[in-house]
Amino acid sequence: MTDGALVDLVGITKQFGGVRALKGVDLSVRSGEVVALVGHNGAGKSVLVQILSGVFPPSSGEIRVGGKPVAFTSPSDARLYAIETIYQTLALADNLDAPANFFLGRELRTRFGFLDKKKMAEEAKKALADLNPNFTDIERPVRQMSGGQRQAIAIARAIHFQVQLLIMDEPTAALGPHETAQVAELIKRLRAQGIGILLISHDVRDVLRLADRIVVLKNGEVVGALTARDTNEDEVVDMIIRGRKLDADGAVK
Amino acid sequence: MQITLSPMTLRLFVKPPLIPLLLLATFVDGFWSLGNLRTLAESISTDGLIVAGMTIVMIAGGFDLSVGAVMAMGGVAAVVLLPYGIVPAALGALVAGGISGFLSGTLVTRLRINPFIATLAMMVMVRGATLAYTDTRPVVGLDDTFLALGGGDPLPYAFLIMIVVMLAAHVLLYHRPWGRHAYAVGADERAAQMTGLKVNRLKIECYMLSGALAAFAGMLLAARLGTGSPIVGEMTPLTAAAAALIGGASLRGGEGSIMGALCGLLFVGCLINVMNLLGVPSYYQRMTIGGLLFALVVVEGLLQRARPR
Repeated sequence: MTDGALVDLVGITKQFGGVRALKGVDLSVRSGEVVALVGHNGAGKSVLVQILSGVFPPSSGEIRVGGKPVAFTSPSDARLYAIETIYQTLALADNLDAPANFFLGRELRTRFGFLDKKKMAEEAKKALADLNPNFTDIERPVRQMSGGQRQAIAIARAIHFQVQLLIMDEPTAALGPHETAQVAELIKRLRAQGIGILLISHDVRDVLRLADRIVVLKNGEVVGALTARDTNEDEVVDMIIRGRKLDADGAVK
Repeated sequence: MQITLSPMTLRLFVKPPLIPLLLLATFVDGFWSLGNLRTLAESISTDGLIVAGMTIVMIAGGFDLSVGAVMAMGGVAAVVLLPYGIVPAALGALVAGGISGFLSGTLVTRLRINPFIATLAMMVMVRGATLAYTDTRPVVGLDDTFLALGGGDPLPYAFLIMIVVMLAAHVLLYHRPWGRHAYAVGADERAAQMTGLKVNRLKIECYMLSGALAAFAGMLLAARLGTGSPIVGEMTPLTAAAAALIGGASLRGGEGSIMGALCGLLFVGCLINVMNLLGVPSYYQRMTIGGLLFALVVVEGLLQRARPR
């Protein structure tokens, strides 16, 4: 598809029984580009996210990383291609502490294969302090932590391991204004480092502020793509609702 | 990780406490006699292997009702294979238990069958197969090495084996990535899957471990009794579940520890031992264990409701 794209999705479809959740979606993200995916609940955003992060395979279509077709059988496959996801649900194990969640599935080990708990605690602590300097009490089950702290763990572990494409599914939905601003800062910082970001959000104002391109999904199809600096809130909202653009005079085409 | 201590210490006091029971047992004639302590050690050592397996399965969010039947199968398999030597006998028992665990795990993961139903079906099948193979009669194994394995002085070998197995299980759960993944899977299977953990594979491994440990326990029991009986272990799943629950495991998964399970095992073992010393008929003993299990599940429900989030 696009030259120099980090990741291309080509003609992705997904059926669940008789329901066609995605009907041939094309999407690409380049390095250092923030692409926002917007649309109503049920438009297919989450399904697309889960396909790209390897939770389940598409019914048809192709995922290309650096132009080469790949097949993910699990999220650990996607991680091998430096695709990391911050899920809306955060996907944390509530009974484990922050370092355990941080390194879940890629634990640091000693020479004999035992958990290197000390090193993991140190690294996690450092990574979490980078995001939130007040977040130091990390060795307790995450179920005892605040929404912002839990979010910080999910974000920190996604960006710690050589990420090239970061998928953020509603990263600010559970956060207050201050924390939302921190996430916005983080997105800008990662973008400057050349990381591609796929941002899924309900908040159109956020999206306009942070994204380079906006892709609108409706009923499992891409109904429009906009350049963030050439559009406005009304146009995006209208496209989400009607699935098409307004005319210059405001009339529906 | 905090799970090591807090739920266990909490539950030791919230749930039926071990220390008062031991104090109470002091007033029962003969409890502290060497002979009785040996009997106690023997009786908890085979169950202990099973409790370790059950606890691991429960941590990963499952349950294993088939452990008693698999224990009987393991004992019979070991005795039947004894003419080929003790190592083939032990390996045979372990493999048989591992296969039955693999089947249970496959039913639970690939076919998405509730663990209670899946392992109940496995329990009936394994028991039926064992009874059919032996024609309902115990098989006798009179190999000197084998019978010696049932002894041990001053501590029974089975007890030492149990301690080693529990230590190994503890290391597996707390110091290996595998154990950490088991806790994560038990707490939230979907989250674990999204994090890239191989959820189905891990759960199948848990059931295989439980099956292998149950079968090995059956072999040790057969060595102590000198026979492989197809009818042993009828109450085992319930006593093992009671011990695991007292030890901090939860029917919802994600909780539990080997240290806790050991305390639970001691509690249930002492309770049965005291009832035996007092001459309580076995039917009433069953009622007691059943009542205990019921109470534990109720307490667990209350704890869940009281817990924040």
